[in-house]
Amino acid sequence: MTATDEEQAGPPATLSQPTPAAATDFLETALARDSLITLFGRCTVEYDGRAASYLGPGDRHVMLKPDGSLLVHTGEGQKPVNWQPPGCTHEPRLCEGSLQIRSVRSNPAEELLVTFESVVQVAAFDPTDESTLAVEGTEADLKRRILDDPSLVEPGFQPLATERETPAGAVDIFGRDAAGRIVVVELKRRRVGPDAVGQLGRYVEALRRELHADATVRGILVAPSVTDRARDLLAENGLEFVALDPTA
Amino acid sequence: MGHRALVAYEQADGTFDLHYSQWGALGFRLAYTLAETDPFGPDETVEPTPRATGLSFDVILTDYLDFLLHEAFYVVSPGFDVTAYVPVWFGLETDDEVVGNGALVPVIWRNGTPVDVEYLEGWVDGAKTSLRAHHEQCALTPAAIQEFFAETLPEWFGNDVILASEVR
Repeated sequence: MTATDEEQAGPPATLSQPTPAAATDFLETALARDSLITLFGRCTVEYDGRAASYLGPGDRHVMLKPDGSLLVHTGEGQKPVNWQPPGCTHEPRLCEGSLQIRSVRSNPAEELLVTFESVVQVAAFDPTDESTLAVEGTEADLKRRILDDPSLVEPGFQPLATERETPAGAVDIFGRDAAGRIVVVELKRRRVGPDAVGQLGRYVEALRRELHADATVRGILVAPSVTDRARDLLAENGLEFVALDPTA
Repeated sequence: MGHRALVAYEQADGTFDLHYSQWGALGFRLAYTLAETDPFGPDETVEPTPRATGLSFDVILTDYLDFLLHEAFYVVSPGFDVTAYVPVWFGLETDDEVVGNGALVPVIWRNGTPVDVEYLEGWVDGAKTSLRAHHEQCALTPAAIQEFFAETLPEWFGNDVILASEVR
C-alpha cells in the first residue's frame, strides 16, 4: 500500500492474526466509519429468522458492507452460504474470549451470529463508487435496447420521453412514428397475457383523452412473446405487438 | 413498464399518506431500503410528494390501488416496519374494474429474498386462463370469478391475504 492509499483509506486498514480483542476494536472503528470490511478466519454461523440454521466451524470469508449487508463465503461457489440483506445493523463484541459479529434486522426479524474461533486477517476499505448501476435485468434492459436502437420497435420510430406521466400512470416510452403519430410503448420482460393488453389500452385511452380530439395514438406492446388470448385482445383493441427480448 | 408501486405511510393518527414509486416494485426492495432516516429510499426511489394524504386503509384499497398497474404495495408503520404485498387483480377482461377489484398477498421472505412470488403469479395466471375459458362459455359471471379468488387465495396463500372486495 502506498502512503497516499493509506491516507485515503485511513489507518488502520489491515490486521493480521489479531487477538479477539484487537479484532473487536478494529471492527468497531471500521463500522463507525461506514467502511467495507472483510474478515477471514475460522468461524461458526447461527441464523435465526424464518427458519433457523447452524453452520459448524470452518474457514470462511465474511464481508460487511456499508449498506448493512453481510455475506459469509466458503471456499466454494459464487453465492454466500449465509447472508443478510442491506439495512441490517452489525454489532461486534467480545464474548467469552471470542470475536462475535451480530447482524440484526427488525422487519422481518432475522439475526445472524458469526462467532470466530480465530481471525487470520481483517481489513477495512472506504469505497467510493460514483457509477451507480441502473436498474438491472428487467424492463430497464428492454428500454435501453430500444433507446439505443429505436428501429427495433419499427423503422422511423422516434422516442421522445420515458416514463411520461398520463392520468393512467407513467408510460414506458412515449414517441412518434414515421408519420408523426403519437406512439405509446409498453415493455414487458416476460411472455404476457391479457393483463398487459389491458394496461397498454388504458395508457392509450388516457393519452387520447389528454391530447386533442383528433390525435391518433398508437399502442405497441413490446415483450418476448404473447399468449394467443392476448394476441386476440390486441387485435380487438387496435393495439400492436413487437417481439423483443430484454437481452440481445 | 417500470416496476410501479404504491407506498402507504401510516401516520400517528392512524390515517395514511400515499406515495408513488416508479421502480419500487423491483424485487420488493422497498421492504428493506426504506428507513426512518431515509423514508423515501436511496435516490428518492419513492416520490417524496404524496399523491394523497389522510386516507383510511379501506379507501386506499377501494379508490387508489390499481391492481393492474401497481406491481407492489407497501405499508409503512409509524415505527418504520415495512410490509410488502403482491397486488392480485381479479379481472379477466380489459374493461373489468382495476381499482377495488383484487387482493393483497403478503410477500414471504427467506434470507432477505422474496420467495414464491413467481409461483403466486403463475398460480393466478393459470387460474385466470381456466376461468376465462368458463367465462367465455358464459358459465361464470364476473361476480362468481371475484368470489372464486376471494375464497381460494386465502386458502392457498394464507389468512393474511387482504381482500379489497371484502371492504367494499
